[in-house]
Amino acid sequence: MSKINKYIFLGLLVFSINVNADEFVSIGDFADQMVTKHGFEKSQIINWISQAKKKQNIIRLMTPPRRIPGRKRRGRPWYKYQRKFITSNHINNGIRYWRRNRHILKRAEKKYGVPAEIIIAIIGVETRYGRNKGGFRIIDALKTLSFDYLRRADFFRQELEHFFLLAREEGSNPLTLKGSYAGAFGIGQFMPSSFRRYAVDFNGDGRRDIWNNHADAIGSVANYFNKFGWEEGKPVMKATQVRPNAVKSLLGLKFEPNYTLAQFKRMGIRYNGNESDNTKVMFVDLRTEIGTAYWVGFKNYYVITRYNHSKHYAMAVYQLSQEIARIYEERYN
Amino acid sequence: MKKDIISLALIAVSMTACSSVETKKIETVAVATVTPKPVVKIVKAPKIVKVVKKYKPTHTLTRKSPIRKPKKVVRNYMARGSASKYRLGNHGTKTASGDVYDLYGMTAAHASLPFLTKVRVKNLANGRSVVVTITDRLYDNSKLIKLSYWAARNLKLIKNPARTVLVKTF
Repeated sequence: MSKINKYIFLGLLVFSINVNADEFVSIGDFADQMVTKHGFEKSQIINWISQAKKKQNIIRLMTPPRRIPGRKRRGRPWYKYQRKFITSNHINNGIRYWRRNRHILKRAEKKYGVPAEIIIAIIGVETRYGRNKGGFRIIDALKTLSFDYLRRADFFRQELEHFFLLAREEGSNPLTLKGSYAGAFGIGQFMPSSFRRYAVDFNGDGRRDIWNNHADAIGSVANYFNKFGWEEGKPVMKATQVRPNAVKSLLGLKFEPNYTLAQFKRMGIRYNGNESDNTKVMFVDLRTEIGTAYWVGFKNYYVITRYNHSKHYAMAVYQLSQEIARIYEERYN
Repeated sequence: MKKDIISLALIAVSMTACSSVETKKIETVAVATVTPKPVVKIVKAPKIVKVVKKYKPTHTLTRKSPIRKPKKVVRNYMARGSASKYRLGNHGTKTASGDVYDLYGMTAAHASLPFLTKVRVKNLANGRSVVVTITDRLYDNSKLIKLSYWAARNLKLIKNPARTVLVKTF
């Protein structure tokens, strides 16, 4: 009996390792890749990586909370998440930020078709309007997460690759750039790969400085949303009623706007808005202080989740943007 | 001979020099007397630009869709009464104006004010106030206004919504 248990345990152990971790690639192999792919000098890459430090607190921050077997984790409800971001501090600073950068925001709005309040809310949720850009060296974070902590090592190794490329392109020293513990940096918290793809020079000085320049940061966030297909003038989400027996099947759907409104109505949603039946929608449920409420999310809601793949994050950004816009309108119009 | 020629040449030069000076003097005099007009024409007086302050909204919320305004504008409306609030079950239902009620919206129901009118609601117990948009009709004579969840929460009216509020139009 005990033997069988042992085997099961061993099997579980092997299985869990296979599931949880990506394959380890040594620093030498990584450097070789950089040489053959992008023509870096091997000694240079190894020198940079060896000057980076493994940070134990990054590993602690990236480790998901332990699951208690047998108990279903419900996660933190929306209203607790909400209290962190929909505060008078966030709202008032957002209005001030809008007022200070109104000309830049107007230009970004015109060029990319993304409303100013959404850009402000993103920057507010990410870094509290540029106040909290992260104090880790990016190279420390990326080295730790791609060579010392294997849960998402493949992803972070790619980001490290992009990071060296961006340092070469921008002519900056990779050892001095700072960001968050996950390697995101700047006022808008871009990852190296999205920086290379979506960051823009919005003040015309020839540099994409999203660390210190708010114009570049605003332009980059707007461009990011524009490239992911923000629909100008369309709603983000709308409240809906749901038949109680339909909730379970609706929650099993994918978190993407792959469904039409007609499909949703057939599945048991009683939607009262005036959108046409072939609008692409997704289902959003949130636990408010007075009970669970349901929304229909549109393409624009999905675009916000491209910044951070979480329904709470997207709702926080949307609600903060609405609060800021409402008070800004009252005060300055 | 050579000396003579040189002296002659010098005299000639001096003569011509003298004559040129005289003619120049004459010319300048002539110019000064005959043509005073173009000088006046060339110099233009600067245009006086009147600075007119135009009321221009710094920002509009719904940029592509037209700005929604009430059909009738009500001014100088002020009333005191008790408030009520929407229930969770109202979330997602259609209001009398056609909008969908959202519990996080800043909306309210009122018996008579036109739809899309913005009113300031003040909780007289604690002095907090919010601006809400009228989107619904209220068929309850005992209450003055029915607030959305989020508006009621901002006024700290969740626990006791029947407190006295002041409703004011702009």
